[in-house]
Amino acid sequence: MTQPIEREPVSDEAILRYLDGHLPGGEREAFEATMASDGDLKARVAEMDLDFAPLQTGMAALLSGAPTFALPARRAPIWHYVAAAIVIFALGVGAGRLLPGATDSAGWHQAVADYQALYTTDTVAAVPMAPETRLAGLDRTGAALGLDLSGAAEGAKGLIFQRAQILQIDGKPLAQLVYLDATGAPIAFCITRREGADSAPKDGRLSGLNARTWRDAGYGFILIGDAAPDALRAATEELRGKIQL
Amino acid sequence: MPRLWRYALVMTGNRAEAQDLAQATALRALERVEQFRPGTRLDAWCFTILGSIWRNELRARKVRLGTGHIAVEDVGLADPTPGVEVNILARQVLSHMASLPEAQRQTLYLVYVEGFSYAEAAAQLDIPIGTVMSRLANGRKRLKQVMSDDAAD
Repeated sequence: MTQPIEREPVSDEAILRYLDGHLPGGEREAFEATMASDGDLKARVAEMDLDFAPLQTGMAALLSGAPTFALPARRAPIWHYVAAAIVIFALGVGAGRLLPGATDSAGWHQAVADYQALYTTDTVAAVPMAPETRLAGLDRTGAALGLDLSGAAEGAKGLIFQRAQILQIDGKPLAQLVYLDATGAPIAFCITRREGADSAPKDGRLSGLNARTWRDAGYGFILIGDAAPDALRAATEELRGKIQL
Repeated sequence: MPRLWRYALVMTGNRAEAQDLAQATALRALERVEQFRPGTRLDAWCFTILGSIWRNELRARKVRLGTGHIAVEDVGLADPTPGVEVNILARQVLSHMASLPEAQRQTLYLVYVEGFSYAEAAAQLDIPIGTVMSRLANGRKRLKQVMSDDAAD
């Protein structure tokens, strides 16, 4: 392809900025004016003008094919997934404030919150799972903690159970049960062993999310997500009644 | 994590390798978590790590093994997919992306799929911003050509 030699040829970079909407108002108008009278420039713009919407839609669809790194699946040995789960969890912890040191109760709540803050509706909804797979995951997760979690699959008013997986904190298993609420917001219900006296549920706000935290019979609980405090309070009462301690 | 995996898939063109790459990225991120600067984007940081592992380690291995070429047909997309049409579209865009030279593919992906700015992409890839822009310009031309050829078939 030959380019006509001009005194000040418009660069590809300028065309790119124009197409990407990065030219400031005045320059943009000047560019369009030049294009109107310069068929060659117009042709060069057309060569680079591309609708990225199908690419973005196709790419969005790919996300649903992503393997669930935290769950045992076909290919790799289970420790791969366990390692990945720990790592993903650590990533959720973010700045490494808590790594790998001991976490008091506020610490593990914050760790869960940081992890949960990375969740979107797609994270949860994009992984379709057969009901029996969900329940098997829940059984396994409960077994890791020595708890019968089967009641939690019923969810609560406005909360639909999606999946359960085992993470880890301070070398102890951490059960993560994921729900979607009516607005599609992901809500996590997490349980880990915590010594200490029982404590009644209380409201909290962590990493921009609302939470309810409590302790029963040597287990610490947190219900957290981008939901109204009232909704979390009601769901807490329901879920508490469904866990056999 | 699905986004890391997708980036890995676009770069490797192969499901198993994408999984290895995404996993290696997560492990590396954990080892270096103290290097993460709070207040900066965690996703960009992970993407940078993925890009560097790909560039410095896995890609070299693939090229050595002579398996650097991407066969999109080998990309087994997961079975529980939301719908057949979506699956076809996903396959198609992957195949279009795979037809680009690696540097263009990576840069286009970061800017037009992930929405990073030119400057952010430049920082991630450790290249000048002008290089990002020329890759985008050339990648656009090439992709446009590929897509119109495909549509004409």
